[in-house]
Order: sequence, then C-alpha cells, then structure tokens
Amino acid sequence: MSIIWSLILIICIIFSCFFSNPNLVINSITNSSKNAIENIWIIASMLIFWSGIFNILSNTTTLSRLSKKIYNIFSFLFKKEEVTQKSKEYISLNIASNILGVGNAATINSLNGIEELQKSNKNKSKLNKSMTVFIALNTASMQIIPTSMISLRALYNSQNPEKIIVPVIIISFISLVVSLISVNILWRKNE
Amino acid sequence: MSSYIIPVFILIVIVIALIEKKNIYSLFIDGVINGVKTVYSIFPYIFAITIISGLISDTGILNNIKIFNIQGDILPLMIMKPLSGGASTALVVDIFSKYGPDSFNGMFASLIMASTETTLYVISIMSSKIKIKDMKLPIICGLIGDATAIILAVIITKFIV
Repeated sequence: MSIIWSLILIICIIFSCFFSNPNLVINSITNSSKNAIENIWIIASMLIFWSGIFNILSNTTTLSRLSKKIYNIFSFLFKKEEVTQKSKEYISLNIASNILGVGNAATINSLNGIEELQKSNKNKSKLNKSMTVFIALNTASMQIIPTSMISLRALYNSQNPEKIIVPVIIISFISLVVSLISVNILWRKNE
Repeated sequence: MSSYIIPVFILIVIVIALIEKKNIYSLFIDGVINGVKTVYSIFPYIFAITIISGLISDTGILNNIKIFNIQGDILPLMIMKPLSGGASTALVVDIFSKYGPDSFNGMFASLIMASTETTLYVISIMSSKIKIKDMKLPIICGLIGDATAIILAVIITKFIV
C-alpha cells in the first residue's frame, strides 16, 4: 500500500510540475482534504448507526445459530483452526450484507470480522490464510442486484437500465472465483 | 423491493432482541461507542486515499495516456475504481452524459462500476483495524480479480451492445 501511495503521489507531482500547472498540486490537496473531511461525516453517520444495530444482533443467540448455517456454506474457504465462533458471526453477517448490497452494514461487519480474526491469529504481524480470504471476499463485488448503477442508468435515460443485471452477476462471480483461486495459489507458494 | 430490505431488517433485529429479553438500548449505545472508535481509526486511511485519488483526477494525468486503443474515458475509470467509489461514480456520470448509458462506453463503464469493488480502499480500511503492514497478497489477489472483471466486461459488452 505504501508503495502504491507514494508512487501515485510522485508521478502526479512530477507530471503537474513538468507538463502542466504546478499550482494544481496544492489546489488538489486542499480540495481533497476538504472532501475527505466531508466524506467521513457521511460515512460516519451510517457506520455508527449500523454499528449500534449489529451490536444488538450479535448479542442474540438467534444470530449465533443462524450464522452457523450461513457460515457452513462458505466454510470450505476458511481454515477451521483460525476462525472462532465470534468471527463466524461477523463473516456471515458481512457476506449477507454484501450480497444484499447494504454497503455500510458490510463495512462495519468486515472491520469487526477482521479484528476478531486477528485476535485468534497466532502471528500478529502477519496475515493468516482465513484473513486473506476474508479480505478477498470484501474486495470482490458480491451484490446480486446493482441497484445504484441501475438507477444511475435510468437517470441518464437508458432504454434498458436492468440489462446489466445478468452480465454483472456473471462477471462478479467469475472474478470472485479467480481472486479466491489466486489467494490459494499464492498462499501455497508462500508456505 | 430493495427499499424494504433495510427497514424490515431493522424490525427483525429489534423483535428478535425483544423475544430474547435483551437490553436493546444499552446494546445499541455500546455499538455506537464502538462505531465512533471505528470511524476514528479508519479516518487517516480514508484521508490518504482521498488525497491520491484527488491528485489523479485533478492533474488530469490519465487524460493523456492511451494504451490498447482504449478510449481515453475508460482508462481513468479502470484506475480510479479500486481507489474511490465517489470519484469513479463521477467519471461514470461523465461517460453517460457524453456517450449515453447504452453506448459501448456507457455499457462498459456500467459493468466495471457494478461488478468490481473499491479494492485498495477496502484493503486500506480493513488494515486499519489489524495494524499489519504487509498487505501485498490481498492487494495482488484483489487486483487480479479486478483485471478479470475488466477483461470479461470488454467481451460481454461486445456481445450485447
């Protein structure tokens, strides 16, 4: 992440100093900082709300029973000894909210889930396989119906805004499978 | 249909907790406290990502690059999507108003936008909670997934447009 971040920064600064207007850099940074502060309020408001709701849910016994069922479907992806009961709950909540497309709920559960997985991680300074798989699940899109994209297309007078549903399901599924396979291959190489 | 999901879900949560005789209010407050802490810990990461995605779009660096005969509008989207949802939505809106959502570019943009996630953003936020610096593996795997999605999107768009 550090390499990507500094590389983009260096390229952008060099580009604007030599090929375009150097004033752009500081203008852009000022604007982005302002945007970041504005965005965090938007993200914070819903994230805090969902955090409250999911704390109620995660303290019920109904959830622990239900999450076992959801988790069992995906259990083949994770390593048994790395996943505790509490992290199973967050993983299944995260997967469910990702599929339904409730982004904020997915975010709070992904954060709780990865924190819980870290607690049972033996080497705290290195990711274990289940954590890598969990991150890979979150970096792939699992939303079944891309509602916001459909409404954006409708807004711009598309003849058939829903046309993307089937292609999106196919593409997201295949790309999810590919990234999970690559986790497995790269993980084996690491060991 | 999808507008029912969230209200009904919240209703179900409250009803389940009532049946199990939980102290709903104090559980909610505990969750909120946890949420505030979470926001505090992810903010630096969101800030850092916003700075670079802002620099990319403001310096216009991507407008001058053309590879693989891809039209200038699509490439910025492909690079921006892993970094920022907001900035890439702005790019999609731009493509829609230029070419229309049913054109090749419009369809391609819709598919990329809807079938990939903001990979680097997600990874940097998730890493904020675990303090592990080495995120090489998830970044590589996430980007492999994104590349697959882009290739598939090109093929499918050619078929349906």
